[in-house]
Amino acid sequence: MRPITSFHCTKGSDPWLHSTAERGLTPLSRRRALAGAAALLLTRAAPAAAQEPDPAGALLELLAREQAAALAYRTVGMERLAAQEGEHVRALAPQLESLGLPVPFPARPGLDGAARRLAAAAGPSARARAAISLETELVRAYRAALDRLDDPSIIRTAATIMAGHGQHLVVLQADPLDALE
Amino acid sequence: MITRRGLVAAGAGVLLAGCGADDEPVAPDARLLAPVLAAEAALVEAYERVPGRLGRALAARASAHAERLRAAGAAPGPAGAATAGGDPLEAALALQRRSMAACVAAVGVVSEPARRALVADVLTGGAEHAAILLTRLGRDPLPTAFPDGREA
Repeated sequence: MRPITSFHCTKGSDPWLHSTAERGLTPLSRRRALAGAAALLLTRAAPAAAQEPDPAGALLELLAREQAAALAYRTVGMERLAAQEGEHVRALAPQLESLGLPVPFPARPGLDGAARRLAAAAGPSARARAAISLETELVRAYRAALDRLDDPSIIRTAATIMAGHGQHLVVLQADPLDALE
Repeated sequence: MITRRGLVAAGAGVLLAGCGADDEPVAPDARLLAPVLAAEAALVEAYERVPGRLGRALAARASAHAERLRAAGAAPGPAGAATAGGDPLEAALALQRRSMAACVAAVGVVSEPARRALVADVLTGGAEHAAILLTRLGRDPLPTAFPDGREA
C-alpha cells in the first residue's frame, strides 16, 4: 500500500487530481491554501452559527472531504469509488467558483478521520469497514451542510451527491440490505 | 429581502397552485412535497409486489418515508403514480427513479430546513434502493455518481 504523505500527485498517477486547469480547478497557492484552511477552521469553530447560511464554508468543507475520500480510495485501490468521489469534487468546484471563490487544492492538508483510517486499512474486510465509516460520515456531512446552503442549484447538487454516498454504502455491504439499517 | 430561493419557491408554488383543485390555501412547502409523497406511497405498493425479504424491507422503508412526509405536512400527492405492471423489480426501479426525480425538484426549493433535510433523506434512501434493485437485476449498481432519478 502506498503511504499517504500529502495530496501531491505526480502527473499520470491520478487522472482526476492532476491537470487541475483542465477541470477548472485552481492550482494551490500558499495564499489560497491558507485561505481555505482558515475558512475550514472558522467553520469548525462556530457551531452555534451552523444554521446560518454559509455556502462558502459549507462547500469548502465538502470539497475537503471529497478530495480526501478520493485520495483514500485511490490509495487502497478502490478505483471505482475514487473516480466517483473525483466526480463529486468536479461538481463542487464550479459551485464554489460561482460564489466568486477560488477552489483550493487541497482544501485541507493531509488526511484525517475516516479517510485516514481507510487509507491505512489493510485487507478487504478492514477496507470495507473503513469505507462504510467514511461514507456514513460523508452522508452526515452533506445532510448537515444543507442547512448552510441557500442556492437551489447548489442544494440540489449537494443532495444528489449525498444520495451518491448512499448508493456507495449499498455496494460496500456484503448484504446490501444491511445498508438500510 | 427577497432571496433567489424565495423567488424560485414562490414561482414553483404558483405553478403548483394552478394545478390544484382545492380551495383551501396550502403552504408552498406542503405542495412541493406532494409529488414526493405520491411517489413514495406508490412505491409501497410496488415493493409489496417484490417477493421475499427484499420486498418487505423496501416496502417498509418507502412506507416510513411516506409517514415522515405526511408528518412534515406534505399535501396529498397527485394521481398518476400508480404501480406499473410487468416485472416487479423493473417496475419498482422505474417508480423509484420517479420518486428520486421528484426529490431533486423539491429539495432545492423547499424553504423549511427540516423539510429540506427530509427530502434529502428520501432521495438518499431512494438511491440506496435503486442500487439494491440494480444489483438484484444484475446491472451496475453505480451507474452514476449523481443519482437523480435519470437513467445514467
